[in-house]
Amino acid sequence: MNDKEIPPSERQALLVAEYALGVLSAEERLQVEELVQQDPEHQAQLAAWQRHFADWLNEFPVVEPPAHVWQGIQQRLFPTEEPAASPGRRWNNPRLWRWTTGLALAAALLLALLVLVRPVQVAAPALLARLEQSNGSLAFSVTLQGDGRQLLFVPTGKPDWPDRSAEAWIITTDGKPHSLGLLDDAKGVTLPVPAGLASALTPGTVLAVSLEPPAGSPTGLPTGPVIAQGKIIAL
Amino acid sequence: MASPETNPEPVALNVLLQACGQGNRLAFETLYRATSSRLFGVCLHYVGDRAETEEVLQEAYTAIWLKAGTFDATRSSALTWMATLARHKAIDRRRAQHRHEPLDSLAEWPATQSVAEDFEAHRQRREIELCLKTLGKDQQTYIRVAFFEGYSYAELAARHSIALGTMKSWIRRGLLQLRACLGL
Repeated sequence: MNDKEIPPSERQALLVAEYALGVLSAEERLQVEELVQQDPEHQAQLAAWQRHFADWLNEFPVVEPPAHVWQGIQQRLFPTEEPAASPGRRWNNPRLWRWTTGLALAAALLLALLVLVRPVQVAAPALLARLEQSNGSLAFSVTLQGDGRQLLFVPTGKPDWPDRSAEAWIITTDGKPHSLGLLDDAKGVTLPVPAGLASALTPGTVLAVSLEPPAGSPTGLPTGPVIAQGKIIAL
Repeated sequence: MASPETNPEPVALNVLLQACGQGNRLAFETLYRATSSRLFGVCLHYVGDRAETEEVLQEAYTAIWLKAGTFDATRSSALTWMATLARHKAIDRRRAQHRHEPLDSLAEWPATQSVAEDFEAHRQRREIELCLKTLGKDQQTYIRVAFFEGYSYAELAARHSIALGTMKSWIRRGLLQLRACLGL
């Protein structure tokens, strides 16, 4: 069935189905994600396909991942903090709670905890900005850490910039970019907020990432293409 | 997952995932504990190599944490949402692993058709299975194979020695028929 044989009315619906099945290339998938984002009807269709295909996903065997996977996740997301205890150790602590039947109990306990102890968000990262690529896919998520003195940039997706480095910028209201420092494409990086710029971290201020020579911009201003940008949103 | 309203477990997972969207790390840890073995099983199936699967699982949960705010409990269950996200990450990894291999070596992989066949016993009562049965045999086979192998059209065609156009045609026609049958 080539493109001509598909009625135009069905083309988009078919793309959504192909997306759910998993036969599209990564590029095509990005296109469908954009399409779906803009149209609640496609969104509903995609969710329905995924629900049906979930019946198949449920059949895969359940395999326990090793403990260091959780630590790796913690390091990716919250690299500034001391390494967290493995969930196994912490969760098997009978003083914390009695671990018996696993999933159902854990979920039920947490549910109760959420209802009873509402402000559990002690260590919540304050989301500051989502920096997106021009195609709309998220490239970095930026959060404020350490009492507002540091910015944590976490890469999402698979960045690819061989032989160049990614530099983060804050664009102050006068339109001038100020360098925040170099980023890493594989892990989260914490950058100190430069003295004098803390007051610039207000909603609406633009954060951007540009590609620069390995040692960073030689001029103090962005010299390469901007690969991601976004505005600070209210905390 | 059949009745998310009456079964407390999916509801609790939904609440946990929504709490992640609000930055609740205790909820994230609980969610990880409750679901990581399911997602690891999914990823392992597609990636094969254990060490690589561990990386993929880390990518998946990083994305789950960052995207949790976009989860919509009225459209999806948390487990479906998460497993789907993990599956896409795993499929990407599987394709990247073998991008530079000659197609000959792809033929040496164990055929996943047999994996699909193992599930026969569980199939009977499901809507998607009932609808799948209304399709032609090749369409049934390759929709299932596409799902369980996680390949692109071109890889599927090469792997199963079927012309690309024919492969696309079978799967696309099948999906459109399936869509009509499922009432989507």
